[in-house]
Amino acid sequence: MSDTATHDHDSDHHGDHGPPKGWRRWVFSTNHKDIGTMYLVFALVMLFVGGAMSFVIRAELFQPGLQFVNPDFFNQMTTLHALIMVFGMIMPAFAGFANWMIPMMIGAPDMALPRMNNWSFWILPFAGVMLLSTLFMEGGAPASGWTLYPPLVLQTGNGFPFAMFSVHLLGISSIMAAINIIVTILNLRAPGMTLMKMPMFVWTWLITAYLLIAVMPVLAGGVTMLITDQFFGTTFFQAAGGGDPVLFQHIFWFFGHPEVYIIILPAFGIVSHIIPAFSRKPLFGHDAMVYAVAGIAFLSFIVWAHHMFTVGMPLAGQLFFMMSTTLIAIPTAVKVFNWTATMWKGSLSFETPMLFALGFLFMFTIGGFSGLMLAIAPADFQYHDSYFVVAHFHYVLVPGALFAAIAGAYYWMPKWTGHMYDEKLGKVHFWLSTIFVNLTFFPQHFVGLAGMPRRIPDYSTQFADFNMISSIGAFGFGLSQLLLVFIIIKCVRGGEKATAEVWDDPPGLEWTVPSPAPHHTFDEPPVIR
Amino acid sequence: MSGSRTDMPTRDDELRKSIRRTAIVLGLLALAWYFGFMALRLI
Repeated sequence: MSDTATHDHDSDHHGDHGPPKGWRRWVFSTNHKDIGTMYLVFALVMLFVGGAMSFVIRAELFQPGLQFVNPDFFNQMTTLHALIMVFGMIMPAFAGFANWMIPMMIGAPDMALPRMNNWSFWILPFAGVMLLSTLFMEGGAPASGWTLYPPLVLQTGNGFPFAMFSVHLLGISSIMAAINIIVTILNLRAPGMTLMKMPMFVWTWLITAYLLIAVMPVLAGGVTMLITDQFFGTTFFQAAGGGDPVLFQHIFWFFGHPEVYIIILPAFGIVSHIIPAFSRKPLFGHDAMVYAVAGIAFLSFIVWAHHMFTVGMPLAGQLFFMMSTTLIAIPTAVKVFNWTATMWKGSLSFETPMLFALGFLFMFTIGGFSGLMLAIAPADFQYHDSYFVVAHFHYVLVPGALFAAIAGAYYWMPKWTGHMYDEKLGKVHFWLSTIFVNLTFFPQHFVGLAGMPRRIPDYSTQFADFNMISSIGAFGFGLSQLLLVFIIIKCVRGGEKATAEVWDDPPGLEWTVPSPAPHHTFDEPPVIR
Repeated sequence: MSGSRTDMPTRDDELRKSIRRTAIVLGLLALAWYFGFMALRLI
């Protein structure tokens, strides 16, 4: 798109003054770039907080028997690990990308609602601390798994209302961010940028934002009903009072399955930028990609009960949810095909962002295939609640969503900081991450198929070898991410000066502004021809 | 926009109105869905 847009930087009225100094710059910021940075830093911190919990989990599972923690604390760790990684790490990471990149990609000067943007972010640290504080309360943190199923979650001690309020706050933050993104995209696109001319990352976030507004209130409603069941005498989910605990499962997964796509669609968007840039070709089938994303988003609303095949539902229900779930393979295959076709006969190069994007492509597809296996209702009766499920969703979320986020960070880091990152270290980071992530999660397929249940601190000795390998992989993967922190700090502090284009004629308006991007960009909208 | 209280990128009143309208509609939709969804269960 850079060849179709003109933007005179000398006419930037705001390029000549910098941001406020000191802590006020961050606490009171209404600037989309600063808020984006805060989201990204918060996500990075939470990656290590959630990662520390996975270290506890994998240390306990290193050998059969109880080594380090009691079973209740183990379950608190699995619960908090998931809640923090989903709500505190990967969603804020993509919100950070949205804040930084969407205004620059559509030629807008900022997000449409900058004060609400500040509020959306600053709710997060308080919600995160509140959630973590439950660990220090009587009864500890919730130990029900991130699904918060009653009646188990209602057995949480004093931490229960705090955890529930924290989930509410995280939801409010997400909804406000989603509203901001939709309003920005619908109102602040540069003249000439029609919807179908929008870059894929913007498209994926537009659809993701609609998904957020559609499902976050459902989670909030479910959690509110948990609170009223616990404290106000209602019996929404208690059979003794005429309620139904399975209702909560439906509510949770009506939120939970679109949530999976809320996480993965922005990842699709990022990869859809990186693969064309390093193939030196336009994205193959841009419009088909848009329709595929919209199709995935639609289907995400009618597949939720595949998470609960074993709960006891009519055969017709199983058939419906099995078939609707397998349908998702079609638009997903369109995307995988288009990424591959983009590379076909391209002039490929393999810098770190491309390596992570390709890692995403291969390993997300492995997670997709195991998802298809799980979608088959009769087979799911075998796999349900086993480590096979753990392997499946970790493949989708770690070498899937997280790799895409890391790929995006390397891709745009020169634009953010004005410096090139250390390419050699970036490649080392990729290979360490790829080796260890497979070492961690691939053996979990085998122990799962052999019958090892999830969310247990002890297991039969027959699973010992694969669990040991998995734990070694997890420690290696976690420690490898320290290299990412080092690379980021090194890049922020200095390094080879980045040009405006950074890469070899990459598509997109963001590459028409200098590196680092000035504090204010596009005060006058660029012209899209 | 230099000197404005925030970086709010309003190019003109029409745009400001459109931004506000879109935000209010989306916010009300989210709130209505939250309360309406729970009300469904109470029926």
